[in-house]
Amino acid sequence: MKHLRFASLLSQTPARRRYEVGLPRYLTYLVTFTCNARCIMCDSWKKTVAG
Amino acid sequence: MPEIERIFRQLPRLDMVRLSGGEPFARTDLLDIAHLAQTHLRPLRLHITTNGFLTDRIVKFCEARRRDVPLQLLLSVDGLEAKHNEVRGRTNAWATATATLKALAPRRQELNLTLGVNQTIVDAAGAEQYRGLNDFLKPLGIRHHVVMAYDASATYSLQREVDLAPKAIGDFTTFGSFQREAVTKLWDEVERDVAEWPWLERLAKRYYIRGIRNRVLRGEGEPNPRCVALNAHLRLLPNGDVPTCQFNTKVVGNLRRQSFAEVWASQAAATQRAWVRQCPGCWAECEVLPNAIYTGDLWRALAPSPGRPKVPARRASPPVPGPAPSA
Ligand SMILES: C[S@@+](CC[C@H](N)C(=O)[O-])C[C@H]1O[C@@H](n2cnc3c(N)ncnc32)[C@H](O)[C@@H]1O
Ligand code: SF4
Ligand code: SF4
Repeated sequence: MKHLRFASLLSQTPARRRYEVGLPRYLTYLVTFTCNARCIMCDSWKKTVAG
Repeated sequence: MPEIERIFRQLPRLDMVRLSGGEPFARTDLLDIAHLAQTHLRPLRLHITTNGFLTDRIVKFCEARRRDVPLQLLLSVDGLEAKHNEVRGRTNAWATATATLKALAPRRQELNLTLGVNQTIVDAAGAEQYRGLNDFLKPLGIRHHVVMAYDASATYSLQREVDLAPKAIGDFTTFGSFQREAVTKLWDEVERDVAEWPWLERLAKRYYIRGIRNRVLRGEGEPNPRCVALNAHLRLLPNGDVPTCQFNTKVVGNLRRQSFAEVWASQAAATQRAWVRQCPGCWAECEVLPNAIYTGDLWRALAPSPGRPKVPARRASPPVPGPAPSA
């Protein structure tokens, strides 16, 4: 299964390089902006929109 | 939760699902989200980045989750105790994060879990703590990742729909100030330590290091992979919005109100894809690695050839510029 996915990943790279639109394979989901830290380099905790 | 399930049901099978935030464990239903992701998206790996403060909740999550998909848990630790607490703005940041690491480290196999630490270098003092933190992590067998803090990200901006992407190839503004010797020393050390990593992780980390060195020390954008934002890489915000990328939060649709097919085929998505195409390229690891993997630039990096058209070398600017902190 892993090998099949890797093969399809490789086969899609030329199209991705040409910016041809394909389906997503990688999801980054920010489940909330709420945060219990107060980091100096990140404003997430200041955002009022809760998830 | 039914809304999240409805969204996930429409998405194709994915290679990787990254849950991040904010603090993802601030959500008491994170376990349900992880189960839905594993069921409907069937990723090869689930990844969670956390500040590690909520030790009990994190351990319980690891115990209760379905273990058929490996979990990559990345805890953010930005220095030794005093420095980390200062960066995170909490006096117990170190105590809680290290308690989480110590609780999970001996149970990695049982929990089908890999454990890493991400040190975000905010300033010269943070860079100086690399070795100390590495010495702390080594006996626990925990891999030590390092990234350089950038000055601003659209995703965490207080403004809505903002474009903070680099305006020229090779642009990278660090959050704090550094002398170039300190930057060189840091990455030399990291590069030496990375030599012991398995080859794929080593390749990926060296790719990141090459790009950050070139940008911060020389103002050069190499490597500079083509970008897969709104293509292989989908971002989803807490309210269902689909932004363009980490540095441009122009929204192309909302998956709570629209179907995935509608958003993906929309004029707004097409417009933003055209914008992505002409973007000079950023250097945040969370964008760079999908870009490098899905365009094949990571493999091309084995041979010396840049991803985008040859990059004009820009003037070096010693010492490395450090703007006023943005937060
Ligand atoms: C935004 S946080 C979200 C997850 C969780 N709250 C945490 O801190 O691990 C994801 C990662 O981004 C890093 N980060 C925060 N601000 C950054 C900046 N200005 N530049 C680069 N990385 C940053 C954090 O240290 C953390 O490792
Ligand atoms: S980096 Fe941002 S999201 Fe993560 S702990 Fe700090 S303030 Fe919270
Ligand atoms: S390279 Fe891609 S992810 Fe980075 S700023 Fe440009 S469009 Fe956004």
